[in-house]
Amino acid sequence: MNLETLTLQEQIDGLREKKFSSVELVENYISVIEDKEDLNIFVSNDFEKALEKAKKSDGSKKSQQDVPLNGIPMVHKDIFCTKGIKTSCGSKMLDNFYPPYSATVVEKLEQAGSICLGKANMDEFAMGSSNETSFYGAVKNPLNIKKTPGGSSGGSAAAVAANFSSFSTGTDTGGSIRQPASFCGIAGIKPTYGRVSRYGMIAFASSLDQGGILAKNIKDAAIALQCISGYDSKDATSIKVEVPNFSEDCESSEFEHVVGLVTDLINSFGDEDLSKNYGEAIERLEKLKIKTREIELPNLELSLPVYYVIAPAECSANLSRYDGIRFGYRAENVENLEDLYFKSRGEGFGNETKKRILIGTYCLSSGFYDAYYKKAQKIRNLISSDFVNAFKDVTSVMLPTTSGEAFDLGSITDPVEMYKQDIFTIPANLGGLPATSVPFGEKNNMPLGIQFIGNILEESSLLNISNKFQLGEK
Amino acid sequence: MTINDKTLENLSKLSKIKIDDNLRDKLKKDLNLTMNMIDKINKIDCDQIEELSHPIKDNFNLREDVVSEDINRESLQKTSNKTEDGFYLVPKVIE
Repeated sequence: MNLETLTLQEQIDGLREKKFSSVELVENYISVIEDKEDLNIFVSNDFEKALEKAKKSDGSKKSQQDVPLNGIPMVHKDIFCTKGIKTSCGSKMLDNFYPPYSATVVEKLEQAGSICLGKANMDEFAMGSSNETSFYGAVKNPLNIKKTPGGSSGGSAAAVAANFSSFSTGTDTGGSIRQPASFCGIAGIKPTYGRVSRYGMIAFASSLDQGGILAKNIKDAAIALQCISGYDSKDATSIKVEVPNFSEDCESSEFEHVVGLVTDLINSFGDEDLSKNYGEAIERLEKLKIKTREIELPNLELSLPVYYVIAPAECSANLSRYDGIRFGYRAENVENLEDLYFKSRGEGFGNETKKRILIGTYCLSSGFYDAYYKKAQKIRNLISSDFVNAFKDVTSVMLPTTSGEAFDLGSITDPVEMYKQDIFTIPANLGGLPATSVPFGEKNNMPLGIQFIGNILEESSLLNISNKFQLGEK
Repeated sequence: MTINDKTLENLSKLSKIKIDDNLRDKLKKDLNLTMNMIDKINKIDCDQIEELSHPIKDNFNLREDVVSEDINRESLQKTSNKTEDGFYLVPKVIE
């Protein structure tokens, strides 16, 4: 039995039925990871501790209810603080950072019994759509090493696709879970903003960032999402509501669905392959006898410019904490305090991060604040209202995840072309809405993804439709 | 061109990021491409629309203002390689 190719659900069942042990699982994964080092997926690993924990898990008498992921190996995006373990966020700035505390997501997964094998490479500070902005070099797509795995959670997506783990954590500010999931042929979910605590998740754009899960399929994503969700007093933006049983809801027959479609909008892009895949996705819904309804999202295309004001503005404020003094990279040979700031930030940040800080600084600077930042927030409201209106008639909205398949590493040099990668994923972040990406279709032998966007806190219904869609006709 | 040498210099000062000379032209080009894309929003009339700064309305869950765990200065300061007697060391500020 190839333990590393099993789904999360199969691993949970197998461990419970003692078909294999957690130690065997971990050893299997370590061997796969060592074989595929060239993919550049891990920034750091914790194999020794993982084996120690696996031994403990195998001897554990705790119930399935108490530790639902007991003995299950997994991978964290290197944006989540792990106490005493390097947390770089893909940046030279944090190459020497060993956090004194763990993120709530990390603690929750530990409490659930899972075992972290290592930290996954990512675009620097989650700013990128191809993993190429990482200080540690780009991750290669396990399905074709010339291609990008997507970004910013490219390492997390590649880890699942390359069988380094059955699931991984990721974060999504403008599509950073869904786009790499689509490029690597796996499933991903970004839950409602506030469903998962942001405590210990290194901040990029605080009103958009949300942690989530990448997995082999939607059911597995639901199981893992269950374990990281919930109110956290350490994050004032986390929502105080009970967490539904996502894994049960995912397979329930109780949900009624009406899926919102935007066929005219998709056709307006004039991309035959994009329209074809979207059309085939509609056919699948019809075969599954799921109701659909055409809706309007008139401001969707404005998402891109709005996002590139709001995200850089918030990032310029968030990243002001990197001063070279309290933690992170500190420049040598400085003349004075001011020089220490300038050089530490100049040498510690990569080019894409610098670019975004500068854009954010520009949009927030005196004389431009109203024209850019305030205006972008108004249009954010317009885009969000389009979804509020849509959800009066439908239970979810179906969009492509990306406009195309994974592209060649190094092939996009125009920043705006790169930013366009996120045109279909950004709207969910602007509205704080939960969204999934489900593998569907292919182009040039690479996978494509279909995205479902749900209403606020309606992850159960969203996971249910995504799961039905992924399973297809029975 | 929205962002010229003078603007770039000002942005560098405001954000306290030293910009290498060999990066300036590329940075200016990329920033202008991005600002051109962003400028689309100027054509939209939305004066009557309220701003949305937070996606979830009315979600304010402030905790009680009580100490829940002690901060361990020593462990926090381990993240810096220049500390002394519980203080962070910086270059001399006062002559």
